[in-house]
Amino acid sequence: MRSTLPLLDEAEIVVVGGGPAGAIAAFTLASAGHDVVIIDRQTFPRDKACGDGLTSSAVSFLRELGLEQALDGALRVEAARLCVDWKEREVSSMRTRWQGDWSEPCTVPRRRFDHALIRLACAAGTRLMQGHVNSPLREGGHVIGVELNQRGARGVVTGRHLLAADGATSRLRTEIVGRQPLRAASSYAVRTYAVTDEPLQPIFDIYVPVADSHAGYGWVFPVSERVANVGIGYVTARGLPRPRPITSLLDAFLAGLRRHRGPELGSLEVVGSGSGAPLGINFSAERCQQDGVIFAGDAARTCDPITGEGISQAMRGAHACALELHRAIRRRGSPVGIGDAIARSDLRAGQDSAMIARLGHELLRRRSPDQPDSTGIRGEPTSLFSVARAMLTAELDRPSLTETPAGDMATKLGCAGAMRALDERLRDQLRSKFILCSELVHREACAGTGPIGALMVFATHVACGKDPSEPVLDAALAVELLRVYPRVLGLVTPATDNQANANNAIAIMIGDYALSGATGAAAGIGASFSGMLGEAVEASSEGIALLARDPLWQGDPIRRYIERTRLTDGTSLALAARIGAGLASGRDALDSSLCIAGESMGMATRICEDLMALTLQDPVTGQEPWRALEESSFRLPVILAVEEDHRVASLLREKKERIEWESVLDVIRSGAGLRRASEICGRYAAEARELALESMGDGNPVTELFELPRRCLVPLGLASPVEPRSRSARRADALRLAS
Amino acid sequence: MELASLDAGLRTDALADVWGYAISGPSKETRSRLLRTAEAVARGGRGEPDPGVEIAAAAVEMFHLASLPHDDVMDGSNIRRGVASLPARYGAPLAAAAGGLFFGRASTLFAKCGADAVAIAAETTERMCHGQMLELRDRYDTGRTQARCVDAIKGKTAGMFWLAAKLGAMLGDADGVTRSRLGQFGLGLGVGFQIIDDLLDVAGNERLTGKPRGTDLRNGNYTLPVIYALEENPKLEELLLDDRGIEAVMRLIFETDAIARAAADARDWIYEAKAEVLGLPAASGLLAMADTELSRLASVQT
Repeated sequence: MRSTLPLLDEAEIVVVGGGPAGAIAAFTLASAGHDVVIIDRQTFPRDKACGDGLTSSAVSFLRELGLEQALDGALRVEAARLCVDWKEREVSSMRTRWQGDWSEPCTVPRRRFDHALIRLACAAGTRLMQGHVNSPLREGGHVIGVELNQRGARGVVTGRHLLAADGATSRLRTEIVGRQPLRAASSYAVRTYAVTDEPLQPIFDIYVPVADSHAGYGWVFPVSERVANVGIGYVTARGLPRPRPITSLLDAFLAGLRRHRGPELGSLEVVGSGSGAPLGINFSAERCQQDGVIFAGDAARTCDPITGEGISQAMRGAHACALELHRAIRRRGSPVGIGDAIARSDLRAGQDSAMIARLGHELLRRRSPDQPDSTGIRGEPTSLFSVARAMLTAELDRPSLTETPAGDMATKLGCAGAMRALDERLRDQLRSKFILCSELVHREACAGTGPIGALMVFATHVACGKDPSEPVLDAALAVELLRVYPRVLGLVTPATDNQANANNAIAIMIGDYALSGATGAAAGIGASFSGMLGEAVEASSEGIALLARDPLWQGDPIRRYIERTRLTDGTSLALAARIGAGLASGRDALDSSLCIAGESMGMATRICEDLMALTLQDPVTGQEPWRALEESSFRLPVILAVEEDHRVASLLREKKERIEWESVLDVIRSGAGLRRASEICGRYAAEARELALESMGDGNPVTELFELPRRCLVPLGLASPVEPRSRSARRADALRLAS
Repeated sequence: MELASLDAGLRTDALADVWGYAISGPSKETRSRLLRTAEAVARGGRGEPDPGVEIAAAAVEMFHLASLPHDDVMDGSNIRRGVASLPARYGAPLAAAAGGLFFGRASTLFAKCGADAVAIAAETTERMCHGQMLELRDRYDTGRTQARCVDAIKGKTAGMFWLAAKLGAMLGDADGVTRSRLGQFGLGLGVGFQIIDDLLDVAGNERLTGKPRGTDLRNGNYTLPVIYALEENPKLEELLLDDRGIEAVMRLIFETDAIARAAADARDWIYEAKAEVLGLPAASGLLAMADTELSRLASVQT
């Protein structure tokens, strides 16, 4: 149906909406030589609610594209500070995450930022048109343009391709996809500017909980020396009591700030009125294109479902859409897989992030009937849920297997190439749809000492004089995923509250994902290796059960620890040594001294990782030392501390807040537990080395592998000179293994 | 080989009681029966069963057993086949570990059946994992479509039926075309089987199913009857999102054609499965299995 209205413009690609998503899409397409027009209902510069803060992911994206100009006059943010019930609680991990290769986050008012982006898009050749889009213009089932109002006059703009980036309340989306299904959750945010008499620190303040709302947070951050952006965002859903009007929530938040944080923040005089907006959450890859229209940014619902942050995802997603469209035009087709392209562009836009958000929401929804006065999530979330959330909400460095202690060692032993190839392979697994799971598994493989299982496969293989081939990579992948499995499944908690249920669902999902990957990789090598892997999975599962069976202070925990660790980490590294040597020699290498070397190395590595976990924040998972206590997993130094002083057991038994965990940690650190654990670790490593020498002969470079735990412990001041375990203990192990 | 007669062969006593409880629980052994029947069809009803069939049958049952405790933890189900589920009885950590133990044992058993068995078992594992994630992704999503629901079913449930039938075909030494037809039979039967289970969750007799009705609904797992009811009556959406509205939804579903439509889907899947094997000699065993599934539809209230 052609319109009778006058034709105002005609372009190859029409972009509706000139915010960050529209501007980046237009910039990308115009730079690639396409004819692009942007329609926005306002004239730039214009103000826009929320989003003056740019995360480091947003900043690094702009740098990648050479668009630093958009950051002119931006203010750098140096730290984030979490305040719970108005009390300051510094989140140290946020600082670490913002170091490294990542760009620092900054703040720049949307009025200036959006204008700069639009100018850059226009400089690349985009035409900008002001107009209010009323409806899509269809021909057959296909949208071929839009009808709009331009200063009172109506007209049409047509194009061969249409990209809708018109925000969370997208008119085009409603017209084309239909109304948003009444989903579980929706988010709103509101902000205002406040002038203060005190110079503001370059800090992003986060306040939880927000009074009288269910989930959300308040924020304060500087946009200039004496002007702060103050706002709140919250999630609501059907079934929850309706929150107070958002403007009154904002007033209450400001009053709270003045009362509790006055000395720090100064007078905070509000200038202008608050403005708010709904946020586009609930991304779904299947709903990013319809009838020839591509949706990007908030219109594609790519906002972070937990923080509500959306500029980085909007820009990255729009860029990915534009590239996909460009490729389609070049091959004279229509774009397919827009949703997957967006999902791949940012971790938080992945399909499983919506799932995490929904699980999170489930916690709220389920508790509200019994606790009508609930004021948000209190206390610390369980560990895995919190890691998943941290991955969604903060910019943890994206790790690589090669940048871990085991990765370093791989370079020394001449298998850096194999390690890189493995890194690629691990990342590629199922990643287009379930990025979050594959990233969590990848992260687990990088945590602690790094992919020591893969290293063991490569090193024993290389020690036999062979270069790692495809089946060797498969074997390394299988072993590494086998190692991840008990770690993740060990995070299942016995509690049955909703938060624990959500945690458990995620843990099982990721554990199964790792097992499925291991099984698939093993199948490529053959039935006998699959059988060995099956046995190792059995052993690991028994190990997990052994840990779950009784609390730390019952029975003989040291014996149980050793047995558990032998069944999990020991079994997987014994399998690694066996398959590494086996693939090199072409026959099953059930060489008992090599297998016990692997097993002992597994024990040493695990103890080493226990020490690391209690001493350092893990640079890869972001896990902080106190979490290692809260998990109530069997860390050897903790068991030794309990043995030394039984009061530690009662300290551990109480349910605590983070700050109290940290004081328990101090008690444990001040005892002899760390030192004793380090000695035990050293003994296992020395034994592994001696057995490997026996098996492979003196002077084989692979024996350097067994230095790994000591290398990791030296910087912690915990490495101790060691003697291998006694011959009789080793003989007993050899006999056990041979039976 | 009966599962109960399998040597536990455990390394520790950490899971001995859990093993015993799970292994001796009631089971319809649908999957191992499918494998045996498919193997007989592949042989054309001639000769003796391959000796590997017993191990393979134990492997698929063990594989199925492995998936149950993980499902139960994720769904928070306390009842399974009319008795306490593993997480309800032993807690989530032991149930999770038991799932891993059974999975490892299943892998060991598949390995004894050779490289081909290992390859299709691995493929099935990946499909199941994928299906499980698709289902989790769509939890509480009232915008879930029929296609998305069937995708999840194909992975989660039907994959294992496909595996059983295909493995039977391989052990019976069927040619390539017959293997694929038997595999398709398994897949169709599996999808039909799951849709009927989903129907029984909203319209079944609790005494016969051994679990309370509406479990899926409360878990936010919106299955075909619910998806169809939502299409007809969008007002149900609001009720669904409130725990107190679930009872009303269970009532209102019957005012729509949803039950009949989902039942028709189940029938279609099973009829198509039957069509795959109709021309095969000695297919009567498989056709009887399909009819048994169809007869379960009789206990769906309309």
